[in-house]
Parts: sequence; C-alpha cells; structure tokens
Amino acid sequence: MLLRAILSHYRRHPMQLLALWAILTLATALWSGVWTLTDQARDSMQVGDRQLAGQQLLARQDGAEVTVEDFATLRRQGLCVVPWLEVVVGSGGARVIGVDPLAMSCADSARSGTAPALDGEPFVDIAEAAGLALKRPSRLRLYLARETDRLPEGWRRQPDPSALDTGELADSFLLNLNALAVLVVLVSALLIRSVYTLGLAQRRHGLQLLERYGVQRRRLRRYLLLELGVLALLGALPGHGLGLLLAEMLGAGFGAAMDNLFDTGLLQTSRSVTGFLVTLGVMTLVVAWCGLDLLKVRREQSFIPGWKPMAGFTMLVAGVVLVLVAGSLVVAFLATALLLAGAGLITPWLLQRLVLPHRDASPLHLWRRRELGVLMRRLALPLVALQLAAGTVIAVHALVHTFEGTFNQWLGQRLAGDLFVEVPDGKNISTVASVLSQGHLVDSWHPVERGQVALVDGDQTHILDLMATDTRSPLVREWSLLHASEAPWRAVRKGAVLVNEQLARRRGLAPGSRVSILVEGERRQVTVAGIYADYGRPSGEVLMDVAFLPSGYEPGFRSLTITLPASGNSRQASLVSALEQAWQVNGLQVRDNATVHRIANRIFRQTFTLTRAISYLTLGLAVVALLLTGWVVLGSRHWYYQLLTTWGLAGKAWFHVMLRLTTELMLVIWLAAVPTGIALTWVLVQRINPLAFGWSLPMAVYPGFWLELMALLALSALIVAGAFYLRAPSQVSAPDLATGEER
Amino acid sequence: MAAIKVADLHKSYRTGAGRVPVFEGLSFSVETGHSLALTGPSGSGKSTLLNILCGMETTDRGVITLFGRVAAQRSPGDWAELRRRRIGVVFQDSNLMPALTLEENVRLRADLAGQSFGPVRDWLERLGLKGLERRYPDQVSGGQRQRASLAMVFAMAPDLILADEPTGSLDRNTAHDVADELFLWQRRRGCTLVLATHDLSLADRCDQHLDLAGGN
Repeated sequence: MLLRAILSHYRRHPMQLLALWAILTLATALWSGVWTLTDQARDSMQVGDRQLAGQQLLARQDGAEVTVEDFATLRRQGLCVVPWLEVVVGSGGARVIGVDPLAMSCADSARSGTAPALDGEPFVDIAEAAGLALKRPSRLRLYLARETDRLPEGWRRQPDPSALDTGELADSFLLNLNALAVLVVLVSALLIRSVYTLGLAQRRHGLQLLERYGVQRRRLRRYLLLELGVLALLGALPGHGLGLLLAEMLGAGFGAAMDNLFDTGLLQTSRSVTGFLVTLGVMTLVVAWCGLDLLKVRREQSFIPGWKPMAGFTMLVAGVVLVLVAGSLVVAFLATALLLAGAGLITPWLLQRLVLPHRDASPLHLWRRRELGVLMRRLALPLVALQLAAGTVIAVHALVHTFEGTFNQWLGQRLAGDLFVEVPDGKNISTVASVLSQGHLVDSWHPVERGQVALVDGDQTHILDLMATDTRSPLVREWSLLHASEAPWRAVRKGAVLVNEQLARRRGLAPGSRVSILVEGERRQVTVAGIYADYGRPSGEVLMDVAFLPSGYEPGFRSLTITLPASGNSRQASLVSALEQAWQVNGLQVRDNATVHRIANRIFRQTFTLTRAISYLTLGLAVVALLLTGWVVLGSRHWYYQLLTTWGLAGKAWFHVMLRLTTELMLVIWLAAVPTGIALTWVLVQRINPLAFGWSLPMAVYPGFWLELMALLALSALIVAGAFYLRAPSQVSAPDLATGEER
Repeated sequence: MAAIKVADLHKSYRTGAGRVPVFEGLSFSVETGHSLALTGPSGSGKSTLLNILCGMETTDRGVITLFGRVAAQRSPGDWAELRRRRIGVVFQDSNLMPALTLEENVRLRADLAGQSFGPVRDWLERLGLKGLERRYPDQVSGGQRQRASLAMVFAMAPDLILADEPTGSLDRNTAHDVADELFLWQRRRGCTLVLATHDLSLADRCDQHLDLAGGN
C-alpha cells in the first residue's frame, strides 16, 4: 500500500512518467549510439593496426583490381600472399573480413610464430566472405607476407595505406568522439535531473504527509531510490537497443569518414553484454545524481551566498587560461569542460539580472519580468541544458560549414586542371612531352611526383610524404598559403620547400625555418618558404620543385594534371589515346577532376555526419525536455495566470501575455546559447582541431544560423503558449482557484 | 494518568533578524481521554506545539512526557512508530495524498497503523462520503476532504489526536458536523485530543483550554 501511495503520483500524472521514461530512453540511446560507434572505431583501428602493420600490398602493374583468382595463381607460384577480403554486410557500412587460414599459416611461419591470431568477429573464412561478396560491395587486398627477391611478371609492391601510422591521430579522433559522448551524458543528466526533481517537488507534499503519518524518511528514500533504479533500467533497456540502431544508421557516414581519415573501415563487432552494462552503469550514475537530493537530510543553505556565480566565474577564467596554454587534447577538453561548467553556473545568475524590470515599467510588464525570473529559477537546469545543447549545435554548424567552405576552396586549388592522369609504372613523362606540347590537345599541365623523404632531427629520422611538382606551372601558382615568407614560389624554385600544416605544427616550423631532409639518401639543408593547408590527412608532407629531385629518384607515384583547351572536352578521348600510344599502354588511369572534387566533398562532409547528427539530436532532446518541464512548471503556476483572466485579461490578450512570457524565456536561452556557441566554435577550430587532427580552420560565425535557431526556439514558445491557451480557462477547477497550486 | 506532560518548554526560531522566541517555559499536562484546546493569535505557536508533540519539530529546552515516556529518549524511529500507530494528525487542509482516491487514502492510513481495511467503507459512509470513495481529493469539496481526513484518523484508531484548525476552512454547518464527529468519536474511544483553534465555541467543547498568547 505504501509503495502504491508513493507511485500514485504517476497515476495522476502519467505524462510525467512517460516524459521521464522517454528522456531516459532517448538519453541512453544517444549515449549508447555514440559509445557503440566509438567502440567499433577503436576495435576497427586496433584490428587494422594489429593485423596489417608493416605489411606490403601486392598490386597489378596494369592497375586492375586484384581478384580471388589472382590470389590462387600467386599461391600456386609459391608466393606467400595473404588475402584480405572486406565485404560490406550491413546497411550501416559494417564489414566482415574474409581471411584464408591456410594462407595465414604460411604468414605465421614467416613471422617466426609471432603473428597475432585472427579470432572471432569480424573475421570469417574467405570462402564465406567471397560468397557474401557476390551481392555486396567488397574490396580484396593481397598482402605479401613473406619477403621475396622477385615478383611474378605483371605485379608490383605497393605501400599499404592501412599500415600508415595513425596512432596519435586515431587517439585524438576517438577522444573527440568520447568528448561528444560525455557532452551528451552531461546534457542528458541535466535534463533527466530537471524532469525528475520537478516531479519530486510536486510530490514533496505527499511525501511529507507520509512522514507525518509515521513512515520513516529512510524508508521513503529507499523506495524512491528503488523507483529511480527501476526507471533507469526501464530506460536503459530500450535506449540501448535504440542506440545500436542509431549506430547502425550513422555507421555509413561514420565508416566513410574513418575510411577517409585512416583507411580503416568500420568493422562489424559483436553486440556484447559489456556494451549494455557500460550503458546501464552510465545511466545509473546519471540517475544517482538525480537521487542525491534524496540522500540529503535537509536542504542545506549555501555555505556562501551566491557561490554559484562566483564558482562559475572562476571556472570560466580557469578554462580560458587553460585553453590558451593547452598542449594536449586532454587538457583542451578539460578546459572546455571548465568553460561549459562555468557558463552553466553563471548563466542563470546573469539572466536573472538581464530580465530585471525597469523601475518605470508598466505593471503588466513588471509582472511578466518577475514571473520570468521565477520561471528561470525553477527551470534553471533544463535552461542550462538547452543553452549547452544549442551552443554545441551552433559550434558544430560553424565548424562543419567553415570546413566545407575552406575545404572546397582548398580542393579547388589542389584539383586545378581538368584531368588527372596516372603515369604508368616504368614510363617517363618525357616520353609524352611531344603530346603535351600540342596546343590543340593541352592548354597547360604540370607533373606531380609523390614519394617519401626523411626529416632528420638529431639522431632520429622521421618519414614524410614528398610531393614534387613544377612550381612554374600556372596551376600551382594559384595556391594560397597559410603562412609564407616573401615570394615563396620563387624561393621554392631556388631550392626551398613548403611544408604542410600538420608537419609545421608537429615540428614547430615557420617560414624561414631550416630543416634537414634526406632525399634518396642525399642529405640537404633546406629553408621552409611557406606552410600550406592539407586537410584530412595525418601525415607530414614536404613540397619541393621537381627540378630539385636527385637524378635517378624513383617516386612511388607519378601523375599529370592537365587543363584542356577551351573546347577541350571533346578532345579528351584524343588526348588519352595519344598518351596511350606514346606510352604504349592500354587502359590509362584517367580521372576527371570535377568528379573527384565532387566525391571528395561528399566524403569530407561525411566526416562530420556523426558530430552533426548527435548535436542535433541532443538539441532536440533538450527542446523536448524543456517543453515538458516548462509545461509542468507553467501548469503549477496556472492559477496565477488565471488571475489575469479573473482581472479581465481574457482571450487573445491573455494569449499574447503568455506568448510574450514564453517567447522571452526562449529568447534569453538563445542569448545565452550564442556566446556559448561562439566560444565553443573558437575552441573547436583553433584549439581542439589542430591538437586532434593537425590542421586548423579559420574562425567564422554564421548569424543566419543563429536566427534559424531563434526561430526554432520561438516555435517552441508558440507551442507552449498555444497549448496553454487551449487549456485555459474553463478547465481550472474551483479547488485550483481555492488553493492556488496544482496538486 | 497524564497522556501528555510538558514542563518548562522553550522553543525559538532563528531568523535573519535574530532569534524569535515562541515558548519560554511553557508547562501543562493532559489526562488520558481528555481534550485540550489550544488558542491564541496567529504566530503564537499552536502549530509548532502540535508539531513538537508528534516529533516533527525539536525543542530548545524542557521535558515532554508522552504516554509515560520522556520524549527526548525517543529515537526518530520511535517517533515514526508513534505517528504510525498511536498519534493521529489532522490539519486544516492537505491531509490527503493528492494522487490517491479518498478510499485509498483511508486504507493507506489504516494499513500504516496496522489496522484492518474492513471498516474503511463504514467510516466513509458514516462521515457522509458514500459514493465519493473513488474521487480524488481535488474532485471533492473542502468539507468532504476534511471528513475524509477524519475517516483516516478514525480508521487508524489512535490514542492521541492532534488537530490543527480542523474546521478552519469549512463553512459553519460543515464545521459543526465535523466537530461533532470528532468529539463523539474521541469520547467513545476514550482517546486524548489536542485541538488548535481560533474558534472559541469549539474550544469551549474541550475539557481544558490553554491560551498561548503569552508564550508560557
């Protein structure tokens, strides 16, 4: 009977229970979704690192895709090759990897038994994977597992992009995701706590009554904690399922982003009970925070009046100092957390002052402002949650749009020219010089040679990518540089180098710095003439003029970038045919740069799919929670609002008063969210991005989007006011008017 | 035998302006089965004294003996047990759980006191609440709520009833009916009643009268 009495509140207010459950479920889903993706990403990267480190790929010289038949042929020729067949099996881009256990045994003996075991998911037998590959997208790679002096004819070695050392970058990427998950939990915790404590406030009278009737407080607390635990469990169960679904839905874009950043696809991992237990643990912590008030003997007075704004201000100052000096991503995140917590603590105090009425305000204005102050006090938690969520959305929007704009511009420079032609192995560019000089086929062109150099730093050398090109080409001269000394291109033509932003940040290089590099064993002291943007790659890169490559230097890869004459599109086929004829090859690899530009743009947009989706979902959750809590709080003050009707402010006039009240409430949230968003944007693009990915973005703000956000909040205000208008005034009962509070 | 014995009771509240004394050496006693009316202006400490007598508030000084045992010796658990089984509390309003029906409220109170549910409907009927058993407190009038509060107290069969303005929010006729039921039941059952009221006619119906206007 006692339990029934305690839970009877939800019988009278089933929507409140539903709202609490829904928020718990959605919050669990968001957390669980992000956690699952992060976990999958971590597993995928670890699997990639563990299995592929240091191995070399085999590629056909004619550039064609390798097939299972190729694998069989190479094995028959006695070569120790290991197949690696990746098949996309899930709609979310999840993959399985087909391996050949027999082939692995040859690899194992080659490695003196040190090869790691391929156990469990996502590995399957290659025959099974080949069956799956018949109807699904797949990619086969052949790894040379045992070194051999010579390869069969028609085959060449190729560095494995998966073997790229992305350790630090991958850690940063995962840390970014974890931070996002923590932010989701923080916002969710604020929302859950606000909804729960609001309900608890409504139940306080009943609980006090039970205490008067002799039910011990300890017993009441036990029941309430039990109720919270059951709610957490009921929310965590479907929430975890929804989270997995969310991860599946976002997996495609996320997998593409990972592929792009790390050459590691998103692997399908088992849905272990550990994932659920972690989710349950996190949600229990969140719910336990709600229950903290229950454990207090009595509501303590603050030890210092107004400690919150003071603590908030201190945290803000500490956060600003820390974010300016942060040298690692962990410190940057800590600083960001301090900034957000500080903003959360100081905002209600600031807003209270913002809405103070003028002394000469009209009585109705005075009442509205005072009421706004009351609502802001009672809705402080969901307001702060919405402020943080909206601030995050503003920051993520700015980050994504700045990235798109900047990347697009950068890609335009990099993909100048109409065609990209891969120079076949063993062929020289000089062979096609006569073709390239034919004005009716080619307007302008430049070569690009890619290979590797080593940066000498004391006793250590660090392998870097090398890009060599003809810096006299008009296609290159248009490149804009992030930082440069005077006449950088002229300097490059005289032997200086340009370095990418990643390398400059990692090594602390600036225009004018001197570095020592090893090119084909030849040690050179060169000057850094400038720093160029190089988005989306972790590696350091050096750019030099092709004329300064040592004679006999064998690049790993050579290409031509060609601009066709004005009417050149129709000449493309003639040009390709002429090049093939000159090189005496069939099936030249030619790419249309406009298509590449389009594909690259799409892939890079996917990089932020997850961030954007999660931040919008969090905002949605915050808006819904504020609407729910706002509805309850406004409902508890309905009697006061009805007084206005009693005093003659009926119908539309009453609606306008309510609309102004709810709109002003949303407006103050918006006012708090915009500076939060701007600060967070700066931290993301200028501090976290460089620390996480090695490159920064220009700081930009998008006031148009702020207005869109304001419109969304105004719409929420309209919904609440409209719902109230429909509810009033006939449904207010005599007891309501007699007692003045909703029961 | 005295059901309640209060000797040299001191109680004060701490406010921003300093300490505000409520009682300074208050002493009285009430025999078992007798009734005591507490009167005095608002703020004289009527509700505070009732809260002290049911263990919901502490004292600064003084000795209170309840049912032959010194109150200071009682643990919070003992007090809870007393309120659950032996002390029935009736306030001016807000005696009912808002989310339970009238009948459920009475059953809850009986259940907490360890009494059977059997007479619950009888009590509701005798107090004129037949047909309203399944209504929620906000669906009935103030008088009906107060009758339901009495039904709750009667259903738990306490040894002591502490009533704070039990008819304060009722019209004259309803107040009269509720008071009749309360005194009738108190005398039949032989339990002790402490009643705080502004209504002197109600106070006159009690065996003893204590005016708290002076604070002692």
